[in-house]
Amino acid sequence: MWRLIIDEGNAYWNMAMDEAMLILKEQGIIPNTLRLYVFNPSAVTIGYFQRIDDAVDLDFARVNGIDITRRISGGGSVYHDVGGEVTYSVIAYINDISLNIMESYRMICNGIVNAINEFGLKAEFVPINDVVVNGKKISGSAQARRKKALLQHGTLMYNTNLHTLSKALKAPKEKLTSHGVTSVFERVTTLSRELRRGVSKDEVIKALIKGFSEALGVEFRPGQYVSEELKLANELVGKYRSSEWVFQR
Amino acid sequence: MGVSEVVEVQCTSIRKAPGGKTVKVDLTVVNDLIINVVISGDFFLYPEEAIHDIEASIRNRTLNDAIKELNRFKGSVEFLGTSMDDIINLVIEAYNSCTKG
Repeated sequence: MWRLIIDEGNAYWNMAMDEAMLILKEQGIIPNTLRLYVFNPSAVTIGYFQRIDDAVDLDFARVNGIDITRRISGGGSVYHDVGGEVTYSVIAYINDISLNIMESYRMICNGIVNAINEFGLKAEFVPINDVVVNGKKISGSAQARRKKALLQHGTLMYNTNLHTLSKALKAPKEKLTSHGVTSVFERVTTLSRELRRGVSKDEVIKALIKGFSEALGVEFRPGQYVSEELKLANELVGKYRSSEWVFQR
Repeated sequence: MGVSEVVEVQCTSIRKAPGGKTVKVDLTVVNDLIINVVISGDFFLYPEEAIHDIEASIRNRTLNDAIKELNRFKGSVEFLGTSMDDIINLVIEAYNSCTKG
């Protein structure tokens, strides 16, 4: 039985809690957990190894009140739309998923694939870390590892404003060329766009719980943060707000 | 005894692996010595903190020494979406564009 936590917070809190959970899982203090959450206000997170100037349009983000922070995980920049995206985190012992990194991406991303299939769409995992529908990316994930524990977090876009996404994120020309297309609208999609109907956050959360349950072969019990998580996350929030962290490269 | 001229040059090399990730190497070279390096992109590296050791290992090195240092990390780190050989090639490419000019 895994713990299920549903949350909403700003980018700094969300990333601080993810890191706190990874640290506490490594110490054996918390149970395996599926955390589903929303970024409020909307935000951009960038990968640990990205240069911020290459990944985000800083002027656009500032003018539009979009928070920016850096993740502890690699991968690319993500636009987290408060009204159109649910983020998941899986925090678990590596031994409970897979020692093999690629296999663990596949296993966890299958939770997203299952969730999308619940909507009657055909989703596909595309290694390393993407899930696509009709050839367009609808979800991306990133995994950080310690010796015993892993954190994989990722996005599922159900009604993300793709115009805002395309303005907020800088996609390198090399990336667009290698994909053979030039527009974000040709590369990225959402559940509501594919279904041609409105999709609610609650529908998405319900589908994700079912999808991860099937993919990981576990059941979830709704739970709360323990005091150690709240304390550590509160200590880490400052890091995620700081220029030293966000602008480190 | 003459005073040698200090020439600082900054160069960038970038590559997107087909189906892989974007990797960028920014080098600062002074008189054939790599003074600074930033390896960036949307790739994955395990453990993540190794990026700082990798970058530090080639500061104040000649190109040949830098390549030797980078090769030492093979087996102790795992890349997804790129490889140490990709990064070595990008360092060589950036270095050559720094020193050819």
